[in-house]
Amino acid sequence: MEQYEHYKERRREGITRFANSMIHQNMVRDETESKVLYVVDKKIGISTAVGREIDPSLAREVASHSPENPDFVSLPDPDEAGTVTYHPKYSDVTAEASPGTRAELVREVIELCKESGLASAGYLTTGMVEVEIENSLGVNRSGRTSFAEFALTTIGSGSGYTTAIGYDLAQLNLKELTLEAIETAKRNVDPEEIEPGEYRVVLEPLAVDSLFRWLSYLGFSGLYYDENRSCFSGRLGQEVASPLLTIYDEPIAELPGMGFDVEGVARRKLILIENGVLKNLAYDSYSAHKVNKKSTGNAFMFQSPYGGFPFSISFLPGTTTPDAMIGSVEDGLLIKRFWYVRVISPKDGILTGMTRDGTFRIKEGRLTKPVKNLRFQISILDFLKSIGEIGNTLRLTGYGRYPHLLVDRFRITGMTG
Amino acid sequence: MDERLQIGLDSIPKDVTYADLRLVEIDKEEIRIKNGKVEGINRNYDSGLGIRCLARGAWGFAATSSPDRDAIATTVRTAASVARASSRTKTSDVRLAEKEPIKGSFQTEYEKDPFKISLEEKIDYLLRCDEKLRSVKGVSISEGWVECWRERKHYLDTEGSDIVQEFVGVWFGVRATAIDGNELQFRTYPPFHGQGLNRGYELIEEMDPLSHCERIGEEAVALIRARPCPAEVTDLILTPPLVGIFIHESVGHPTELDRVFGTEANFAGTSHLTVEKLNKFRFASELVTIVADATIPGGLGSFWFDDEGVKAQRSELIKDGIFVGYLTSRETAKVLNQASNGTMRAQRWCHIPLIRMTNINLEPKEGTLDQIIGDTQGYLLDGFKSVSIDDQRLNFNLGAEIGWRIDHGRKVEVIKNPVIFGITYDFWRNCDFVGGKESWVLYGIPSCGKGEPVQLMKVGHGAPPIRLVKVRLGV
Repeated sequence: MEQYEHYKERRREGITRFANSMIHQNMVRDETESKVLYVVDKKIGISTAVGREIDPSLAREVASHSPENPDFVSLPDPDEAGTVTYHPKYSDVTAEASPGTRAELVREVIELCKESGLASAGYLTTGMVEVEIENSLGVNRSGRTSFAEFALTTIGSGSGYTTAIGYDLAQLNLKELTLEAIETAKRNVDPEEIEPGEYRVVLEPLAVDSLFRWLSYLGFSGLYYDENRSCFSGRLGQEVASPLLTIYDEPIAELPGMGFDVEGVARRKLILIENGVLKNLAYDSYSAHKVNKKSTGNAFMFQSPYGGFPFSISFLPGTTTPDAMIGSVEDGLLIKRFWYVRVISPKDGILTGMTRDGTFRIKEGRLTKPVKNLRFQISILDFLKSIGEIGNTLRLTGYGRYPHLLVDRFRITGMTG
Repeated sequence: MDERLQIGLDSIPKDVTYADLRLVEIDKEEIRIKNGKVEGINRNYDSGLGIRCLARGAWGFAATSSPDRDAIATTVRTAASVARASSRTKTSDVRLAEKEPIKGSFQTEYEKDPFKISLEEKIDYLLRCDEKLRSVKGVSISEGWVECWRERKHYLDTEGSDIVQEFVGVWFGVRATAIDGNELQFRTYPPFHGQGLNRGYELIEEMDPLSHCERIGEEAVALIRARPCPAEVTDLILTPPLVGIFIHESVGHPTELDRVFGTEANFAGTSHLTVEKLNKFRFASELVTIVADATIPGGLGSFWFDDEGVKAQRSELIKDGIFVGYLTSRETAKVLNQASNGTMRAQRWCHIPLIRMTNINLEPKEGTLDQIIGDTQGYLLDGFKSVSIDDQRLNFNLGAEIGWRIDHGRKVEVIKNPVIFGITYDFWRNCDFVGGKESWVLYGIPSCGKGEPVQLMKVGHGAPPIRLVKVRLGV
């Protein structure tokens, strides 16, 4: 048996990075990468080339040196790859945005911050990606997408942060985003200290995004699940979260991205948790075939040691407004975002990390003083079950659509110096 | 000279006042084994040209993977137009510290070219390791990996430098994972998520992972049944890999002068080690001297010249416990009226050079690990598991793979999920033992993240074991 896949990607992007209220790192890059995966009698070889034409025979030659891998069944065939229903959007203006265009937009952001007495740091990125995939079983895909991404930290005696991403520069309302980060920085001054302990917290969408990225890694890989190293292993079909929680992975029209994964398998809606019950896991073809399943269209690299992951997570919105959430908290915290979240113990989902750029005390249903950046340690499994309310609006991030969450128990273990 | 560089030089527009060009070629081979099966063999080739330039007093950078003449000429002109765009927000012209132009070629010394060891030999060795790991009852997942690289970097600048450097290195490791119910524990050898150095295949033969497989398998299984890490104030011994990662996060990153000056504020953050603290701030006990040393043979942070053409150096960051120095670039050093100490590196041809750690090392003092265990009532921690630290580099959380309670100078009990957390300098100030030369080990990290877009850099950390007294263990 011989099979192969050829993957080719061209990425052209401009990144205008600024700090101390001036552009300090500004770049344009253009890169074409080709990869070939070759399978000969269950022996697998991969070759990658950037900067020269790929030699397809190299992957075959590499494969010939490998022992057979009995777990390999097949690359996806057209039936498994399915029909692509999501077609990414493309903005010529965004793909071709010049350094001058980005510099002018960044200059306006910098000036807006200066008017509020704040320094600024961040980046504005624009560009395009085009992809071609062909495998020996007849899967053929191609597509292109444009992208624009913006991030901003506003810095005075306190700090604020914002970020946004889209396929089109026009989607990013830079003025509105800048004002959001300015407002946070202005409120986030003279922070107080609090005692470690369990708090009721309202998490803003960027904070929720951070935790659910880690949940993807710890929980939703089908490979990890089957190897009994997912924090959800053995719980498919069981309640793993608050009944309020429904999340899924599906292509999002406003975000850049292809309608298929790196194996050419069509992306589709994959419900991960529905009303608190674990419904599905993410697979690439290799990890799926090992357990007699089909790929869910979640491959992100050839022969991934992590299996497949959700490309994004979208929440079904709840019914509670963010203001009502804050209003329901007698004594707690509002957390804008997290930083440096890491795993302490993967199977029981123990995470630690810091809050950053805006953490505020809630007293008697009102935001009061900012507090210093806090260290937390939680079990993501306990966290999922202690979700008390889900916000009624969703914010688009680079990894899905996220609401505010009201969480009944969130453990703070310390704070910054 | 490579034609691509000549085209690049010839294409520089007249209003460019300074430019440097890097032509980089990287060959890489990766092998991964899991549970007795070869999961992946990958041969990578990566090449391209990056040009950084100053025009109208501001920086521009452009890069292309295309070897095409027109594409290279266009890229050089693009870099200049990017610099002109940058100048729209400048508050002053970029100024660079002086340096000597250099011409020369340099190459990693090694005994065994890792690319000349056959794939079959590497795979066979990894499979033997894997078998040994799985021979331990209770080991659920066995893994092993070998990665080798050859990187050729040709640097030119308009001040007359013309430098070719070739790096050859390996990174490898084996890991045993034990799983039982909701419990998952692992042990890794070498215990720094593997080990990587700019050396030949002889490094793997010297470190001999095969002879450690049974031990780490048994330790992973023992961890499953072990007592959870207690929460107490106690005396702690950290082995060299944990000291290395603690240095990385608490000394390496906060002494990067670009962070101090705010240019990483949006992503990695800034630093509490601000300029007014230089030569005044007691960061650690007087036993602690930490240096940035890009000159030691074999380190992943070793080189001959950085990506600004500045000679590799050894400089002090912490001397006898006092904060005394930064990692600098030509631009940041100029602000302090210093010369650059040569720490600018880019991950690939398509990245802008940033201030990066070289080999950030704790200087040895006296004593061995066995000696300090014999003199301790407390805990010994080994194996880097996880780390988290705030954006000022103050509040940290460091997790180890394994801990042992030490009673009357003997390891008497295994503990699982050990973590230490608190404020970095509080821990360093409580250091009352720094091991000697014979216990000093140089480790490599292949993927230190910094910058936007993120660049993953190879850096090194050499350290002996240390002891910290009366510090907080466990949450």
